[in-house]
Amino acid sequence: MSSSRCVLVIDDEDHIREVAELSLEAVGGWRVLTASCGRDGVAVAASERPDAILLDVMMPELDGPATVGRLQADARTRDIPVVLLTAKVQPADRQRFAQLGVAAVLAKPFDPMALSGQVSEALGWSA
Amino acid sequence: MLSGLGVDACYVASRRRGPARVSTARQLPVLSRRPLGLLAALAVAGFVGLAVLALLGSGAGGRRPAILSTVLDDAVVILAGLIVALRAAVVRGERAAWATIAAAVLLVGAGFVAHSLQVTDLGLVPIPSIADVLWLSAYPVFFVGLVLLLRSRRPRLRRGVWVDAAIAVLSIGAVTFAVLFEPILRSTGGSTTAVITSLGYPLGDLLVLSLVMGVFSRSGWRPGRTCVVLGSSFLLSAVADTVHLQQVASGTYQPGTLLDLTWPLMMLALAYVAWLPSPPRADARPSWREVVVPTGFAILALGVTAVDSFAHVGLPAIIMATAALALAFVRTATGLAAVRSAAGTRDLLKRNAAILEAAGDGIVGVDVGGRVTFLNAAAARMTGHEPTEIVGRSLHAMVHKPHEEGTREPLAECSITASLSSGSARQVEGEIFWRADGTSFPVDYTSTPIVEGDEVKGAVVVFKDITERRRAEAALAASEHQTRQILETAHDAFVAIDAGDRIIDWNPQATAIFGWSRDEALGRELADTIVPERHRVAHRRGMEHYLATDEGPVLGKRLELTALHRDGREFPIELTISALQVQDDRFFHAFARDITERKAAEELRESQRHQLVEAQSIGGFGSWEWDLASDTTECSDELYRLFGIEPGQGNITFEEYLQYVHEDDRADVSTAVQATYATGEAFSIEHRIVRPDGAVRVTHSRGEVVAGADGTPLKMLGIAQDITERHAVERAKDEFTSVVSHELRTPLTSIRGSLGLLASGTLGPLSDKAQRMADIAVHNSDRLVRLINDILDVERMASGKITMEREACELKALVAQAAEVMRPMAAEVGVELTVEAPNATLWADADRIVQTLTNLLSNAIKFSQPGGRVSLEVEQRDAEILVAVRDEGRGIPQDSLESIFERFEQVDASDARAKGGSGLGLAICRSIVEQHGGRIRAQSTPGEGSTFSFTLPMLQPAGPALLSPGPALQLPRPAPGEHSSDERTAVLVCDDDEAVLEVVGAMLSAHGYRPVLASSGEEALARAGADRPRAILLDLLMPGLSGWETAAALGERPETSDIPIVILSVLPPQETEPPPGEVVGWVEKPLEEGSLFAALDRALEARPTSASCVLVVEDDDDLAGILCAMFERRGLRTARAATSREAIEMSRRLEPDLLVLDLLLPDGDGYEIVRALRDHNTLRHAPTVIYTACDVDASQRERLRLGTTHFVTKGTLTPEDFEQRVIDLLGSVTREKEYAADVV
Repeated sequence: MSSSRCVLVIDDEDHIREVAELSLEAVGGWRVLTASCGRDGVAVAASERPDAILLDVMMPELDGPATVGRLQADARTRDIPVVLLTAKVQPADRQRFAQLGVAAVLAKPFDPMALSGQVSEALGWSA
Repeated sequence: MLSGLGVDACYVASRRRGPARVSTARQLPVLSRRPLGLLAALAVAGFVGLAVLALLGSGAGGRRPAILSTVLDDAVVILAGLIVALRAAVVRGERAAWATIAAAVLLVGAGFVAHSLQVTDLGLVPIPSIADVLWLSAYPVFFVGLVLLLRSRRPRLRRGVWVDAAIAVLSIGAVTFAVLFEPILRSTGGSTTAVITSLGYPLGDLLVLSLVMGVFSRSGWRPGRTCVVLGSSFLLSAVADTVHLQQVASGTYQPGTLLDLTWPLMMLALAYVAWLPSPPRADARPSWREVVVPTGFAILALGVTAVDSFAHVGLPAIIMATAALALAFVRTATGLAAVRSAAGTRDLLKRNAAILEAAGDGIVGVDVGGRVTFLNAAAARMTGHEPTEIVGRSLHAMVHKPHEEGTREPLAECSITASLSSGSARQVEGEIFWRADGTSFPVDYTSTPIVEGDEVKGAVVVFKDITERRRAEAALAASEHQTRQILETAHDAFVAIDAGDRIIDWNPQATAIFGWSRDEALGRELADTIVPERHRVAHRRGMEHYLATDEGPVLGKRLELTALHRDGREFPIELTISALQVQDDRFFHAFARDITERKAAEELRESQRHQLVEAQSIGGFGSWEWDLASDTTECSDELYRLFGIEPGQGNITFEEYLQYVHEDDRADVSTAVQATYATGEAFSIEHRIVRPDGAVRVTHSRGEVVAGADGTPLKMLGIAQDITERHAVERAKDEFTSVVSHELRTPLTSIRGSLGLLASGTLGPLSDKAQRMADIAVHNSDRLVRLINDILDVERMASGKITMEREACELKALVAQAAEVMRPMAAEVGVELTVEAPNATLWADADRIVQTLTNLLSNAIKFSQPGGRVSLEVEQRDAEILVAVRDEGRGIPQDSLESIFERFEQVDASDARAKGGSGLGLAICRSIVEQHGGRIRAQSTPGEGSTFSFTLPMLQPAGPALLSPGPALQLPRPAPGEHSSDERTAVLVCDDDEAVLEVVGAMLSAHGYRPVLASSGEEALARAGADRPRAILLDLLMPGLSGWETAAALGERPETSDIPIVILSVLPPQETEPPPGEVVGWVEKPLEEGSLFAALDRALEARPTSASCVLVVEDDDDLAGILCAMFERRGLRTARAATSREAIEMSRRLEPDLLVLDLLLPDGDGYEIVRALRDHNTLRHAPTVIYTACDVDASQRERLRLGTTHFVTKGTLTPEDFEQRVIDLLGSVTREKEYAADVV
């Protein structure tokens, strides 16, 4: 059913990327692509056209919001929903992220068992 | 006759002012002297010539000299007339009288000339001739002149004088008729003209003589020179005329005889008298002479008449004699009355004289000619003139000098003269009078004319010596000048007002202050000038009140008021008012000072003081100043409040101050203050104070010494701040930190422990993915532990809570240790790590230095690319070493080189996660280095790499004695046989390579062992026997005894045979040949720390008996479970206590071989347990691991020590390390026990 779902995880932290990947694959049953920086992520997104992108906010060089800008600027990636994963979950930060036109903002640390469910819920995917 | 005039003048004066002790002496005007002398000389010469001719003629009897005689007669008489005329012309006063007299004399002279012409031309003289007419007409002129003279000198003659004159004339007339006239008349033949002519001369003479008699009478019949001369000459004239008549009648007259000389002589006498200064005279009091002399005349006349009547007495003589007698009777009666009244008058005069003499003012009488007629004693004293010398002389000429320089005032301008000529009084101030000695004195004088009828008779000059007054005036003027000067230059404004509030004085400073010039201010009303409008009513009311009641509450006091400037501005002044009364006038004097600046300064000072008080109040600190000399302390209000006493309760001494200090802190405070006093270095101390109500406050006191120029302490200044609240906050923060660290560390320790057990596979094999997840979890929980530790480290370093536990340590070992820790990480990322360190001993906290080195190496490795190089180099300088860690990473921008040492500062925010750092490492490094007295800095070339370097002070040779400063191995290496007191587990290392010995020694030290070094097999045998190491690390290839030989020798000796041996060798273990004796391990060179200690552990581990018991005192169930699981994995028995009570009870019961003690327990703390166990025989030596989330300082450690005690902070060691530490400790304890048993 949802085995066709493909998500891209962009995070500079290897361990988080690894845990998220395992979590989404094992619990969500999705295909997971990963990128360790914004630039790579944009390239992967453009070539692989995932169904959704899980994007870290704090990254060196191209950070989360800048990556969102790149994705939105590209016709191939413009329509891919983006879910921000961030440790910055203060109200002011949330407000700022909401203005970026992302689908959802999820807080770190996340529960690996619940992550895929939260993403599905945010994107309106049926289980 | 003229002398009588003088007497009369005297009399007038004496009647008015006093006794007539005056003369009629006169001063001749200087200008008239020369013509007078000439005329007088000619007249006298002519008279002498006449006299000579008369004598010659009488001798020869001829007529030849008659013409010459006649001419001389004429000349002498005319010259006499001129002399008198000159008197009238030159001398002022009596001018009319003397002019008339001169006219009479000249008439006589004209008669002489006419008679001469008749005699010369005709030889016969008809009767009456022109000469007779001229001569007879001269008599009435004489009479008028003399009467004028008499009147000008005294206005009114007493009646008695005329009576006396009449008696005298009638008596002489009776006698003359009786004796001469009748025969003469009979000889004239009855011609009327002849009779009149013949009798005219003697009758004229008698008429004139009667005046002279009157004068005689006025002089009291004591005639003076003038009177005698005149009287004699007129009497002589009368006699000569009579003789002449008789000779003519009898025809015997001869001209040119001596008889003719009588008439020129009479004229000369007149001229003489005109210029004669009269001698002083006594007063003319009525006396008996007034009665006797006239009566004498009458009796004489009656007698002659009576005798002659028997012959041919004529009726006229009888009538005249009878009339004279009758008048004499009357005169006698009135004369006696006058004599009687004169006695009373004399008394009156005496009194007047006394008054005059007593008068303080100088009083001088002058006649109408300005000549002095009298002067009183004061006048004589002041002028220095004797009365005898000045009377009769011109007052003006003698004493009057109007100007100080002595120039003579023209007579016409003399006020005395003016009063005489005008008849009105003059008052003069400030002129100068001369004294007889030529000096002068200032006078004020009045000149009051004496007026009788319309005629001025003289004047009275009253003068006053004003020298004293002048001097007083001058002194007053000087004083006033000085006062004025003072007021002019005074710093204060001076304003004087009268009772009407009008300004009467105003000095320049008043102008400066109030803006009104002196001219503007004078006359203005003070209230309108300087008093602000709103105060004017009060000002006026105050003045009225004072004027009405004499009550001036503001007088003489220093007042501060508001004044008004001319420009309308108001400003504060300080004012002092005084009132003074001069007779009926009242004045007010005021001194005013503009105190605007002073007020401003006062306000500023007040405001500053207020601010200080406010600041102290807000800041909660009080200040004090302690004067050392007087031992008095001045404290601010806030300090009193701090001490809980009312401000201003008097000053307190230092001793009293100390009484407020909490008794436990008193010694510290006293010591600190004394140290400051002794050294001059400021003190800063926190201590408690106890308020009177018992409340305890914590204060922070700081103080310093203020010394004089010579360095002597004068006083101490300081502040004390109430930090009770801050102290409480700090304590709360400490507690929070402590709790947080504990509460965070404890679950983390459980997590880490569980994950470690999972990841290690101990609990069963994991799938690859599970293993991977477990590894990630272990890795990240380690990271979280580090982060928490770093945060706490930074926090405690910032608050000064961490003190460096310094000891002598070998730099090389520290560097090796750090390098060893970082080598796996470097290998992992493919970075080449090179380390070089010289031998150097530091006085440092070894753990902290290793932490710093590790941190820097870790950073360098993290930021290096694979294949890059990281080097640690040490450079030795004079007294410090410089440690530099270099990398070839991306470098650091220049502007970040400083900020990276700040907390949570990283060049890139994402570095923290990417590189696994907390962002606190460098801050901690800097804090550690600085606490060691060193400096840390970063240098970088972006793209090429960075260098972090820090300095550390080297241990000086004079440092603590336990250090051996030698360049070789610094680790303890006691001589054989010497028992080390070191409680650490001894491990013998034997290798012929000093470098290996050194590195392995350092590693052993770092792991808590005591390395015992031997560089040969022989030495190893000796030291093993002496030091009884628990393990021996043995090199195989050595000169002398080889490793195997040494191992065999050790195995042969009973005391060393059971010591496990680990072979260190470049050779791989030889599986075929079983190792001899106690060889239990093999480690290949190059040595890898992990495998070395794993082998060593195994060697040591072999020893503990399985019976060893570990008591875990831990309230956290999870952690306790994990700990127990770890120990049990090693085959140890465990017991667990969750409370301190339980711990004590179980310890006593089980007597465990090792205690693992958590400090924070629900019902107490580890201290209590230790205290309790210390009382126990064996437990007090129990090896203990204090395993706590809290930090413990040196003193706390001392209180926690039982047997061999290790301190492990939760989270600072991995569970594996912790486990190893415990096992090591347990092993050493077991060996100690065995050793002790062996020895025993």
